[in-house]
Amino acid sequence: MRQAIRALGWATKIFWVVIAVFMITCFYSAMSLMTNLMTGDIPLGKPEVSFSNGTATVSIPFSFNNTGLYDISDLNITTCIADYNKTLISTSTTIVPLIAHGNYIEEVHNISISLDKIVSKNTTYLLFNSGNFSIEIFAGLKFAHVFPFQISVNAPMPWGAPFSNFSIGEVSFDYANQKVIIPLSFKNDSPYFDVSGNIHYDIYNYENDLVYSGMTHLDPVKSDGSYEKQLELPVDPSTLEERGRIHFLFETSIFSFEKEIRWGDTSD
Amino acid sequence: MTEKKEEKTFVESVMLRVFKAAIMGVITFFLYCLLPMLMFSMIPTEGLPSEFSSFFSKYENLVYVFAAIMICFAVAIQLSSGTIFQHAFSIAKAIVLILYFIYALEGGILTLSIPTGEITISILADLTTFLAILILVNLLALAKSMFETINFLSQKAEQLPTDTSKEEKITSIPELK
Repeated sequence: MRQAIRALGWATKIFWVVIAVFMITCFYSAMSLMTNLMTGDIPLGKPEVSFSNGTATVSIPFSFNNTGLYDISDLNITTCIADYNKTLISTSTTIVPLIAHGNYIEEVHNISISLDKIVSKNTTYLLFNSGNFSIEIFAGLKFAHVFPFQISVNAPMPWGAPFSNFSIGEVSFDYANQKVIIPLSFKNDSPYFDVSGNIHYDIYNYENDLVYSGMTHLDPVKSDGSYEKQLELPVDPSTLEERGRIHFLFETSIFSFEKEIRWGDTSD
Repeated sequence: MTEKKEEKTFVESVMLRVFKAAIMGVITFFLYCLLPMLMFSMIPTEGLPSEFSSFFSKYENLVYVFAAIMICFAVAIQLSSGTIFQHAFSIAKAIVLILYFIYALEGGILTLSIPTGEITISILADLTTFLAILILVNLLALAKSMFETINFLSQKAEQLPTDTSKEEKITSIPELK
């Protein structure tokens, strides 16, 4: 009995010493990392935006100097971007398996937004309406291979639609010259790219018959620039006076998509 | 004369116990209160959001509670040393510490949410492994105290029959009757 008590006593004491040493060293490491964070030793580089194959990629370089006494493993940075309707637009993950103590790493976190997916996922409204996206950044890591930590940051991210407020103005009918004039306008709110390409359009009359097809070229509309043009269509105005619809096909260097606008009595 | 001597020995032993308890109290106070407070004062809270400060102040208070628990039990155990209460207090201390750690570490999952304007920062720390280790160590201490209690009681039980047999022996000797 006495030996068992003695053994348990020693085990308890040894455990307490180990815990105390571990806690103190953890505290020291955490303080060291915190000081680094506050003095800017974990810097975020300047984000770079690039486009390829219908995908916009924001690359954020970052570096991490592990001055603590323990390894940091399974560093996982995940960025989720949802639009103003809470539809998930993009999920990007960067994983750093291990940052050994005393080591310095440099990595790049890539956030990809596929414009093709936006078009194919029926979220083309994002191309026409600017607003605030919600960006959620999760950073998870394991400290000393034992303690999992997670930091999540939820922030709004302004979204600039490349065809913001795309609309047709008041359709005017020129009976004398047998013309229909349709004013087109939009604003490029996107801070990242210019809009250029072609707009194909098909005009349907009140009986849903195709009355005219055409194409207009989009000269590069710079960021924060506006586009205004009047489409003069040699069509009999009487066929479009009551109601009509115009079907647009946008073809830009980055993506292509369709949109339809109606005018007149749209009860049918 | 013998009574006075016995009284003096009793007072001396009580004084010695009180002195030891006081020393233990001071050591415990230094180890579990002053040292952690020194560590807390090293945390650079300037420039951090107020939520951080309130989080740290909550843990500062919990350190005081921990120190109070440790000091109370250290003094109580020292005062009641050599009695069954010493082991009872040891058992109570292990149980109270287990409950304290579960409460202080919020079951192992610590969360902190810092809203700064439109941005919300949430921090989550999973300390379940650490909590499990702390509980395990306290369970070891609990087991040790249990064994000590059993040992103490068995020694007492062993002493009692010996005393009665001595009395029996004395009464059986005709000259001493």
